[in-house]
Amino acid sequence: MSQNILIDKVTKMYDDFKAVDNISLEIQPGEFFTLLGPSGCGKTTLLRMIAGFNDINEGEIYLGDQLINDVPAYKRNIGMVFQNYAIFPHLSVWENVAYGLKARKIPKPEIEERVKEAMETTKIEMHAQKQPSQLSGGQQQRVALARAIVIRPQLLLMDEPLSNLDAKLRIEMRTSIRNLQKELGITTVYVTHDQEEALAISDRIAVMNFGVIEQVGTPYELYTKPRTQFVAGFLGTNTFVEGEIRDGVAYMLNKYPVPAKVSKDYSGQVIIAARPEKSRFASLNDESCISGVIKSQTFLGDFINYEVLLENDQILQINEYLSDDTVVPRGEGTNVRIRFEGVNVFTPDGREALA
Amino acid sequence: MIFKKTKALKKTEGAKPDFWTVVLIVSLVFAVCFIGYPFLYLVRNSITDESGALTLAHYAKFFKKHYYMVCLTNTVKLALASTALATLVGLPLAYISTRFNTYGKSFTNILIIISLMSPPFIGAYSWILLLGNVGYITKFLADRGIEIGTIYGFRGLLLVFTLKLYPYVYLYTQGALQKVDSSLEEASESLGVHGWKRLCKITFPVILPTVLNSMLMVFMTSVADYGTPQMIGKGYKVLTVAIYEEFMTELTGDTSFASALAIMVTMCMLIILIIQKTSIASKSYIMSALRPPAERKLKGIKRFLVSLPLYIVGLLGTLPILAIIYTSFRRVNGTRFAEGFGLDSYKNVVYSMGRYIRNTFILSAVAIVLVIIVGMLAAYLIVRKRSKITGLLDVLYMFPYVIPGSVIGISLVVAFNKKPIILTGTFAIMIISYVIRKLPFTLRSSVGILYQIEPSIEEASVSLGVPPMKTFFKTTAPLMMPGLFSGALLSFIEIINELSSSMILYTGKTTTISVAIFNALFRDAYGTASALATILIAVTIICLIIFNKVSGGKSFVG
Repeated sequence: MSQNILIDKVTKMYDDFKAVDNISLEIQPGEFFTLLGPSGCGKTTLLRMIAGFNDINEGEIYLGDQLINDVPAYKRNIGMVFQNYAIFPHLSVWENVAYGLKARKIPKPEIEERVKEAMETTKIEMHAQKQPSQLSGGQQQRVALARAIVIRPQLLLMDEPLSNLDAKLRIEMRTSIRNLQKELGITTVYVTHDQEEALAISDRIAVMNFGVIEQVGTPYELYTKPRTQFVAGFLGTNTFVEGEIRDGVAYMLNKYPVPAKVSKDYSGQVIIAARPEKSRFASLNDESCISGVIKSQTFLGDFINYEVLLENDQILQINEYLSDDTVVPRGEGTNVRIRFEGVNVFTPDGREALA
Repeated sequence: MIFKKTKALKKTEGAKPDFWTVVLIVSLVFAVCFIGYPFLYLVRNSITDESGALTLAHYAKFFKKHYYMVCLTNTVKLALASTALATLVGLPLAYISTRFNTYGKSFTNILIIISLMSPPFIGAYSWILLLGNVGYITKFLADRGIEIGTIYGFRGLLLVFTLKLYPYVYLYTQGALQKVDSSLEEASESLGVHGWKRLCKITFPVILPTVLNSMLMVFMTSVADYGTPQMIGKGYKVLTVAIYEEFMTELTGDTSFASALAIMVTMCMLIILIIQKTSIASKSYIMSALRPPAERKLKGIKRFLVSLPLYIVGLLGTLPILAIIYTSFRRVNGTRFAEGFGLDSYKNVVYSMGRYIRNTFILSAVAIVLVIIVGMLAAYLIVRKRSKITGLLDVLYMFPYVIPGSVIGISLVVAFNKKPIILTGTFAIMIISYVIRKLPFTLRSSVGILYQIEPSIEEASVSLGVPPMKTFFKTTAPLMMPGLFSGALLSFIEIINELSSSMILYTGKTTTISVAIFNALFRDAYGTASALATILIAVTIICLIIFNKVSGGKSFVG
């Protein structure tokens, strides 16, 4: 039942604007695949091309071995969950879930059975006879999910399904969605702009920007080995500081050596990306470490986040974890030096990772 | 992984055109045939002479002849005066009813809506019953030696229009006043501006665009009305009456001059609308009051005094209706009234005019169903399939908004009274005129409703395997219906009461109640006219009650 998807050199134009620019992707059967990017990056456009709501100007999309470019949306057998849930407000919860089955002229006893099953899977069986207006956002989301999976689609598409929920429910729902997807083994393409959500839920992620894919990989790969400055900046927090590579060693502000395995034979100007959780306070005497002044501190429970004004007037963030009892909060104006446990290095245009 | 690239089989139904393409073509053909073509034909008619050569003689005639210039100034004078008076009445009443705890608010509101929804020519006729040369009030006063002037002419027209049209100002202003968030006025008070000064500096400027819009409605309605001036104007001729008379006298031959007059009136309306669109519409303030202003709680005599104007005006507006109902139950002997009460007039009507009643309801029902269907589908095209062509469709369907009913009637007659399409004298032409006259209202409300329905509702349905046409009728259409239905009820009321285009288009076979009333009045058959009018009023009130129930009840959008 679960299908793979091949997206081959696909382009979508709006007048002169390329919303999706020559994108190619392979998504494996049963995979939870996320399109991640800022608003306007083309992720929803691409999703809607798979769904059949946007036509394809160039390229081809295959579902299994079937070319679906010209297959109308209603014949694609693809389940879709919308950002605003798109629950039919004039139908009861049961009728909403049964809608797609009735359209398929499935015999009544089977409809009853499958609707019941889908509602049990999504834990909404107690709401069957309610009107959508009586449901909370999270419950509506589950109805939308039940309605999409009950038709046993070849593919499940989700367009920012959690963005209208509050923070706590969002985390609860994303675990439910993830578990459900694994249980059903259904190929899923998920769109979000929330990097934390993408990291938590996905098997693989494609990070998109300006209609192109910056990088495809597992959450771990993307976070630890971003291939472009954009990916490094979009996932987690990074401070980008100028530097250079001399003789295979990267120097922050051309002076302070940082630990980076420079893989290529490169020398010259670079951008060094430092994450707060990989930055540490160093001894004030260690002149090989960059210096700065603490500008502010925020206590966040398990760690303290400091903003440090570096000597080149850039702000760098450091997280100091409280696992060690010896940690004493540092006040504003304290002079500090900073060392790094690991950094990423990019070419000056940010398009290529050097380490 | 290796993907097999086998091309999908070419779809077999590829030749079948998309549902919405078909709808677009059909609606465009309808619009071009029955709105665009007749109007262009009218324009052509107005600028050609009998031999078909181009000429501006008809327009020159209009400006040269004193008579027509008088008609024009009469029309404008009457419309301006009616607008001013309706505003003077409607605006303070709206303020009173939103800001004070007047007695029986829903009752006065219903009185005011009823006076709006009853057709103006019926109002005119009943004012004749009351204040005409032998009217109830005239006689009552005359018996006591008090002479009042004649109701006919400018004064009567002004009275009828004011009492019939002030509800526009009242209802619009009421709506706007309820949307002024009280924080706005409180902010003003906290800055030291209060009382009358606050009213003039904050409240009125904020609602001004809405008030101006309602004044425009009054102005345009009074310019376009035909029945009232025909009935009560007597020597005071206005353009719509002139058009009708020209058209009727020219009917056998050349309709060029009537066409020229019709174009002139339409152009006037168009110019006014354009001024409104460019100057007022852009200045509207979008507001939704989180905290609507509270009513001031008055007690005793103050509360009574504040409520009094609402009752006086409300009852004055509905007085004509009471007069008609009263008259309809008087005994008649031929066309004369006899002593006592009875059902004579109704018996007359049922025996000799049952057909007109049937005509009215069949025509109106068919027309309103078409209005709903066309309005819903056209609105969908305009909102969801936005393009230059659907933009054109929008303009075409909205155009009749500025065309007086009699002009629509004339344009349909001149366009379809000869081969290849002869429609004159048919039920079809009546229905077409009703549909295109009422479509602008339904179309605008449909567009508004559609903007509130998420397109993803339909996409959800499509992704669940339901093709686009079926999807529309299973999701969007039922979601639009509650909102559309209440608007359509108001249009239905207007259609059953419609006179101006019917007067041009009707034949013996297609006579409607309002035409029959009009003709009865000219035969002095007041009993018959009253009975017919009472039927119309009763249906109108029933529809209003349903409207209240529907619009107050549950609606899926908004």
